[in-house]
Amino acid sequence: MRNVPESYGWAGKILFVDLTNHKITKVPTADYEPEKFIGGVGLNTKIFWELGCPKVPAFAPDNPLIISVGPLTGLSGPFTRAQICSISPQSYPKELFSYSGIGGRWPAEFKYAGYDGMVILGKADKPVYLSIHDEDVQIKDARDLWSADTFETQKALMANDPGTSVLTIGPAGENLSRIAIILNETGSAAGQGGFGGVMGSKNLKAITVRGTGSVNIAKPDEFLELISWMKAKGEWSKGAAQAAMRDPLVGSKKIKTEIAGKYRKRFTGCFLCPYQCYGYYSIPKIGQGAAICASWWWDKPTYYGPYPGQNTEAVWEAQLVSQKLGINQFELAGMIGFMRVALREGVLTEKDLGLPLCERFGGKASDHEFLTALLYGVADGTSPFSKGTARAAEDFAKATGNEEAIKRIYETNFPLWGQKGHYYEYLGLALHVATDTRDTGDSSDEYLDFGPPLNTGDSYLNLGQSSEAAALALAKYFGVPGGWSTYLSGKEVYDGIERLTFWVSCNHHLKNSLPLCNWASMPSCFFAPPEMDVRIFEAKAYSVVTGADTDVEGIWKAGERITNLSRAVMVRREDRTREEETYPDTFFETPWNTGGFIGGIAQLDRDKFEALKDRYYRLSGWDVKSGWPTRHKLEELGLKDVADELERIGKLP
Amino acid sequence: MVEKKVVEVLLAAPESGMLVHVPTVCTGCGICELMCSLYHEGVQGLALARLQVVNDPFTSTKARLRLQSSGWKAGKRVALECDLCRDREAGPICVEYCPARALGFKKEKAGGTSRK
Repeated sequence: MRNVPESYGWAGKILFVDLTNHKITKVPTADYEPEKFIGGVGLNTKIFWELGCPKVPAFAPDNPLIISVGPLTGLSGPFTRAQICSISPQSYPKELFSYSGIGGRWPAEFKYAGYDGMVILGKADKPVYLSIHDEDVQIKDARDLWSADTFETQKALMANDPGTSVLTIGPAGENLSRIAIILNETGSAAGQGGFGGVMGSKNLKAITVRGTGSVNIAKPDEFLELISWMKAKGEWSKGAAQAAMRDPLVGSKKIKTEIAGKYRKRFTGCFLCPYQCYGYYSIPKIGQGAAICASWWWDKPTYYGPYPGQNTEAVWEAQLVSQKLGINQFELAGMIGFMRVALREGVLTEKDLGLPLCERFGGKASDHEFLTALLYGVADGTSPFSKGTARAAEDFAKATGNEEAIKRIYETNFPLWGQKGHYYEYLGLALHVATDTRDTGDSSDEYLDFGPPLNTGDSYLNLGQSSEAAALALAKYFGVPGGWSTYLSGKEVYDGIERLTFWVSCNHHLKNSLPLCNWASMPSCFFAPPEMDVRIFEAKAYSVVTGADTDVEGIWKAGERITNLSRAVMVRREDRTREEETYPDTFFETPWNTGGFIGGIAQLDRDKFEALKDRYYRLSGWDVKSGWPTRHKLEELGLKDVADELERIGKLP
Repeated sequence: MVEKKVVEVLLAAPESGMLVHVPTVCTGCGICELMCSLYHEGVQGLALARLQVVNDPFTSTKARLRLQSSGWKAGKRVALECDLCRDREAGPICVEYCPARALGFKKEKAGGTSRK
């Protein structure tokens, strides 16, 4: 890749905000080699590396909160994303440097304001918010907004400054809950990681931004051709992402019909994206807002199956109140699963949990009473669950003495890194998560590993194929074996899974850096291999926007480079070892059990999984014994300085 | 979600044609703004679009569309005017790329509605 003028694609500046000393500086993005690290997670990780990967706790003032967009942000398409990286208070047992994406409107405004990224350090001595109007950046008093919910905060700031877009935390973030989110508008959140708490620890209530700039495109005609291509594929107006996500993902058909039919008022989504895959709902006396996927945590199909006693209003109240208080909804879904099993097995009681149990859990309280007690307890820090299910389970284990049982129930729901698992019945994803810092939640894992899109019923890759043909297509077009690894057959296919995970991991980092929405880049969306698969689309979009002369191989190297830099952070800061990259014993000992499409267990074979790791590390150019990147690989990717630093601290194999 | 289809006229120019918007169909995604900016200015940004989506994320009310007569270029106010993309053979670019098909263009002279 040749050096490119940062005036195309990139906005050109990174903002550094020191809240302790009220100091604001701007540095050229070029200082951080955007042509090598692109933006989003790549740029954030590069900045964190240059900051020395501080070994500080998540809530320490020296933990940088890093927010970046990418060269495609602010353009028409599924690109309105920012990535937030920081040391994660949600990670368990160790706090890891991790990441979370966010859409909405804010990322585009931030780009138009002239920034590719932002680094927030220090701690304000009283509640503040950051106001960004193009060049004008100010730290302002937010004492009046402290303890306001996420909706009230945004409304107040937007009334004060029309046209502004706001990232904010709710009471959960202020009270240092480890599962607090950062929210934009009513439904776009950086959910995983607990970064709302990091904002709270800095006394930073919100970041408002308004930009009047534009994004320069190196080759506007070719960019238009690309957009026209998407449009011609029919995906411009009815993408698979929409079809998969638009309906309320609730267990009961009755509730689903009622919510979709009676209360859904319109569709919405991230600004400037054609898909608009969120529903906007309004229920009288409860309120209104956008919802998708994990928003329906109170009645997700997988945890309960249809639940006739459940009422529609409670489902909506659960979603809206958690969003307003600023609590991670995907975590809540796992938390409910944990409680349900622990109560059913008699391991925990109403008294242990300290919550008035609702009918669903065999108690007498109403859903409203239960939800109120749970959510406000999390938000104000009085409930053990405020620390996240992982650490709450630890408390319950100590208090009850039921350590073994509680650990098993917790681990089944939260297999690794303190996060609720996503599709961990797929072997490719299991390996991906094990070698990452969080539940990757990457749709490519699901699609490449598993088979036909679950919700749409579309044939794989839009090629009109049977599953067997799809597996062959995967092998041919993507170089991954594909298909049916565990989910439907119950038979794990370990052979070649390392290539699948390698593929997904590179692409995962790439799309989180360009950025490209995960849902919009599902293999069934706008792909048309072989003339256009996701890698070709990414390479083309990146090249025509930035002017970099990059082909598929070049963009793929960038994905691999970012994967390796993230890996180097794990090694340098977190002493990552091969031994950590495995699953709790439950996963090796429990017979295969689907348990619904999220929440099942594919029984892993220890020897085969270890052999798979061998092959994966080898394929990645990492040392098989330690799992650490080798100098050879790092230098091949232009990361000699990284290799030198790892050698200096004795962590180069 | 069944609503009566309402058509709003955004701009009617006697010589060239009429740009219409169907708010009940519009998702408020803002793609029209960026396509407008791209065609006229060669860049993408909301501040250089001749039309603007007005959307309140805190209510279920549907988005509105309005024309803008001024915008921002390199930090300075500039005048903007929708000319219905009169040099563009296929008609207004916003109409062509609207994912929701919420925009329409009627050519005055030729008659009939063209919606690409």
